[in-house]
Amino acid sequence: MRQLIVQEIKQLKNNQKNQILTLLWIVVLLALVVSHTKSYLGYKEQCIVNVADIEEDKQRELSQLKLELSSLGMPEKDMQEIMENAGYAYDASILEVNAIEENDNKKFLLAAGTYLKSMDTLAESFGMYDTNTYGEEKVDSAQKFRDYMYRYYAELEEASGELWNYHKMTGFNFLYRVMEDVMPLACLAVALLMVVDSLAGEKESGSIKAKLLLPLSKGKIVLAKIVGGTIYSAVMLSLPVIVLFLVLGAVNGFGSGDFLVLEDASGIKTIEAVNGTLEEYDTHEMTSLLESKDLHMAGKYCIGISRFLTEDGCKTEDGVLPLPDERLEFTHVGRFLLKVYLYQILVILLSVSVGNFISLFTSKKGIAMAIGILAALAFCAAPTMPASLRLINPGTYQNGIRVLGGTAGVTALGAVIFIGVSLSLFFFGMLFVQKNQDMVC
Amino acid sequence: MNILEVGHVTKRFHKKTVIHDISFSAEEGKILGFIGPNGAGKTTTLKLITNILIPDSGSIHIAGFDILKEREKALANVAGVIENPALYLELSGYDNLRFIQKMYRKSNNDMERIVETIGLGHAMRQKTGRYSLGMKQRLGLGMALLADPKFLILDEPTNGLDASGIIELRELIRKKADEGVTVLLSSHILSEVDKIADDVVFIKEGRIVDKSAIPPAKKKYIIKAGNAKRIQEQIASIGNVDAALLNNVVIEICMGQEEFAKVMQLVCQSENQVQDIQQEGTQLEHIYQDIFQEDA
Repeated sequence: MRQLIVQEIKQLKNNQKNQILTLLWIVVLLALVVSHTKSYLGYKEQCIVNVADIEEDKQRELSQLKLELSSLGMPEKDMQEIMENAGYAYDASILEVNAIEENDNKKFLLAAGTYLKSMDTLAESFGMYDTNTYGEEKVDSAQKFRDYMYRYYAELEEASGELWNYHKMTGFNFLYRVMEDVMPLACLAVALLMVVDSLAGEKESGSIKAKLLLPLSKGKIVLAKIVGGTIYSAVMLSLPVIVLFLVLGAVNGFGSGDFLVLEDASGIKTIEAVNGTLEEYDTHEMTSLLESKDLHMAGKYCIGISRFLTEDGCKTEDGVLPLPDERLEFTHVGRFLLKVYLYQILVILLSVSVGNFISLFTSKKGIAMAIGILAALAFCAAPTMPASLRLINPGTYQNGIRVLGGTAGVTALGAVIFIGVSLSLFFFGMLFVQKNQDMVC
Repeated sequence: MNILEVGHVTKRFHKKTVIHDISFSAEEGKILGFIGPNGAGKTTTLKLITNILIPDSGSIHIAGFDILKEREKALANVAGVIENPALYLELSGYDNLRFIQKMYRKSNNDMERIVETIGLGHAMRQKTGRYSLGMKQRLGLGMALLADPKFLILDEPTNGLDASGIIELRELIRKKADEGVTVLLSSHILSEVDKIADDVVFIKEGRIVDKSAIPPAKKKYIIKAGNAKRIQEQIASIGNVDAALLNNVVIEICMGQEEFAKVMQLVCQSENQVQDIQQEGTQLEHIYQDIFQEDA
């Protein structure tokens, strides 16, 4: 059986179409690196100007805000609170830029928390400034102020969003980007195309007879195709990623994937804050998350409980807990990415099973390839892509924002489904062949 | 003892019966010729024997094992080249042979010996996609021999081989039979089969032909004689004999077995100055002609 698998891998490796697909895969990865590096370099040039812009905006907007608030006759106490929170939001944006540049998780968490806290409080201000508080005669002015605040809020939100999008292409940032967007689709489409014509091609050329004459069951021959195809596809898809990870690590440093993980987490909380559904978080939970160094969830909680976050640490019911001093990136992100990668291997297994299943029913390489291309297009076509990504990782979407990984339960369920479907395809295919159709006609 | 037993096997493709209730056997250590015109069902039968195709009814036993129920045990005794050599064209000759070596757990010495036997030492690193038809045939044969089977199936093994290759192959098959290997040899070159086969099975339109039920056909003789014209005149009176004068000294006579003695008595008179008598075609060709005369 082992030799049969080795033979499958050799055949796939020497297949010209697979060599072209591997080359295309490398081109896609390089394009990803080049485009992100270009964006990053452009961003870096503007970075100092950007911070200066934010400072300038802050002064201008706050002066404007003060004038607006004064003209409305807002009491000094209320006005002061709004001004402070607006100022915090600007300061937090600058802090975020610096934290990303300095690769400092702790600073970043504080900045993100402060920013969100300011946003949350500003949102509350809209509610505070209403006709009940300031009387009927101020309704027009109140509406004007509310419009102004919404616009201001949206601009600040957009400026903050910009900051998330540019990261130096370090080894881990590259790995995270690949795992998030490109790899899942490659697992579905490229792996499928690599193997879909393998069995049909052997039937067409007649080389399958060499295997059929071996003292082995036909089931083992197809099983070797699935196992060999999975190993080959996984290696060919992973090898260029690992090489680029090491090269980028050597050139740009390995860095941290933490910010990208946090980006996912904060996205959810930002949406919740905007929608006004931010809940009170259990600070005991935060304690255990910090202790277990689960940055993904801790990120959510830090931001979620931003009102409890101070320079000294996180205020919990157990007292003020200091944020962890050591960097979390390698062990946490490494483990996290490994989980995602293992999950993607199961996607490859599924694709390879589908490919071989298609190949069982035709002796024409061209037909198998055509079906494979249609299936790959169906997976990757723009209208169906979100569904494909959900298929790959059912836990990726929460409140419309994509988060890699999902919960352990969802991941386990997905894994069971993938393995189950792969095995079912294999057994159904073999049953069909044994009962209804000869392997070679 | 029979290493192969085919019993009442029938095979249909899309409701069309291509093999009709065939039965035959192959004796251990013998060379069995398997003969039939194109489309007679030779290759389909070989595929059924090796379980590449599954029969609709009937049984096939190899070395006592039912191929349908004990596929792995039955196939452990078989190797061969069916239809065309089953090669991985994207791999080198070495890799193709190496695959079989590993699957059958053969030693490097065994592999080297086979490479020497098939005479492809110079081309083992080349991709087999670049091989000539003859080279592919040799490699396919080498892969079958490396498996060291008790029962060797060769389907048109001389395809693409040059004259020396054909002679070497004939010697190799004979040698294998002497070593106790049963060879099932399917070929359209009747003279080749005639030279080495111990027995022959004919297949026609998916049915095995019963040789005893075939009426003998006329055979052709070429006679060289000083007085060929006289011979023509002498045998003109004998019925069911056709004689044609090819030139002054060569005459062609077609006759059945019954007329043979009578004609020869006349021909061999000293006045006719007979120098040479040759029967045209091999014995097998005559039987083939007898069976497939309608097709001819």
